[in-house]
Amino acid sequence: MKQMLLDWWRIVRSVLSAFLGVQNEHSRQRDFASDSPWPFIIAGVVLALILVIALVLIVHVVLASG
Amino acid sequence: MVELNLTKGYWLFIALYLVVPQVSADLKYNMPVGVTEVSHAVHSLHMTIFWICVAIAVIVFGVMFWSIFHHRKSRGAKAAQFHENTLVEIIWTLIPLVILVAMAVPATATLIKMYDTSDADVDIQITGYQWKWHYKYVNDDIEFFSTLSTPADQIKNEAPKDTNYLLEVDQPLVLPVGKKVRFLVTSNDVIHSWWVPDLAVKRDAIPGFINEAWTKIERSGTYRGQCAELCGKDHGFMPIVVEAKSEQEYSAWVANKQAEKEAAKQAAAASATKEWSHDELMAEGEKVYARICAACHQPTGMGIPSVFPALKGSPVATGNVQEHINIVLHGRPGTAMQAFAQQLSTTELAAVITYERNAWDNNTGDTVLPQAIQAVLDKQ
Ligand code: HEC
Ligand SMILES: [Cu+2]
Repeated sequence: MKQMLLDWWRIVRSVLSAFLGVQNEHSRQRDFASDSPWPFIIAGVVLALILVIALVLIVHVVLASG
Repeated sequence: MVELNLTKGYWLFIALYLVVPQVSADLKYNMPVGVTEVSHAVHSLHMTIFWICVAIAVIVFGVMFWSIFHHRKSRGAKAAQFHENTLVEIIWTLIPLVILVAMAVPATATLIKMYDTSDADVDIQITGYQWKWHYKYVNDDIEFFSTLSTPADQIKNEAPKDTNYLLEVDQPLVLPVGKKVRFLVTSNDVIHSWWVPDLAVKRDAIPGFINEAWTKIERSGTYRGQCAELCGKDHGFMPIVVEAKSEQEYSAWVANKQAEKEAAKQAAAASATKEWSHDELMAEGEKVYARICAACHQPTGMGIPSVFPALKGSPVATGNVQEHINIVLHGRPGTAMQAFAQQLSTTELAAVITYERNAWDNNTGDTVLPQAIQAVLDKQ
């Protein structure tokens, strides 16, 4: 269980690095050694959705206070 | 020796960077401060972001030039050969991100202010036409066209140009000082853009859409602008002049305009019953043609091949009168040929049609009377 959480945290970090556009060589080697790309794709889609929702919320808050 | 020159050049460069913006900020090359709260906000936002850019430039180029100079080959510098450095990459990604977000804060505050068109005291509908502006005071039932009034001889370089060359109109848009005025901007034909820098208002005029903008002018005066969206041949000949007047003067102007409108109605009624002679209509028609139609169909009546048809010898202008009246009253939808029924009085319409049917050797001998125009309008 703990291992699984750790794996997901690693994937989320890699996806966030991809959002920023910076990743180190060590993590890249490790990610490309994984069996399946799906966890990265799923994490990518979910985090993109979160980003969009966060932007929408920020706009709402700003407009409501403005 | 070489070293001395290089150092000098380097300091000169930095000095230029610091001095040039300082000077130009006060010159005509900069954005105007304007006469509204929004224009002040826009100007200070512009200056804030400008100075942020200057600071970034000085730091980035400063470090760059210093590094190039101090690690030059003649001093025996060796290039570093490392491949990646995650920490540096993250820093140079995060710093611009933080700067951009920081700039978004004042920018958003200004944008919200600009778009707040609520609670306006005066509503004005602005419609772009090729190539003039139409203003309609929605609450006061006043409307008029505002067209370029710079004389043709100045445009043709036959007379010296005025200071307000191409920035002068026959009827300016008159606005009250200290009142919130809402603009409803649209277009009759192609996309135009209503732009007055001193008000910090620039809004696209798009056919079929209404875009909103607003202003609250602080000082009375005359403010000039231009169409800011390339809209065809006379794009540069449809300026905007705003005259801001004190509240009393504005009310007096509105009352005067309304009286003028009443007088024009009576004059039109009188002219509709008046017996116009052929020659009177020709004389009046020539004036209307020069003022309204010649921009496209040309003073010679020859038009511009494949853009504006010639009226000299045109099958319409020498053929069926009813067809001719129809096209001038209703235009040809989807072309630059506008409907003139609302723009001109029945007398003006009758006169210009009579003129087109007889000028440039069209010689049909026809006389079109205001009553004939009225008959067509009544039928609708
Ligand atoms: C903004 C440019 C513009 C202005 C101003 C303009 N016209 Fe036109 N006019 C056109 C165009 C373009 C056509 C051709 C329309 C088409 O494609 O059928 C046209 C066509 C015509 C025709 C039909 C000619 C033919 O042989 O088909 C007449 C008549 C005419 N205009 C009269 C007038 C009169 C009268 C005025 C002034 C009151 C005027 N126009 C002002 C652009 C203009
Ligand atoms: Cu225009």
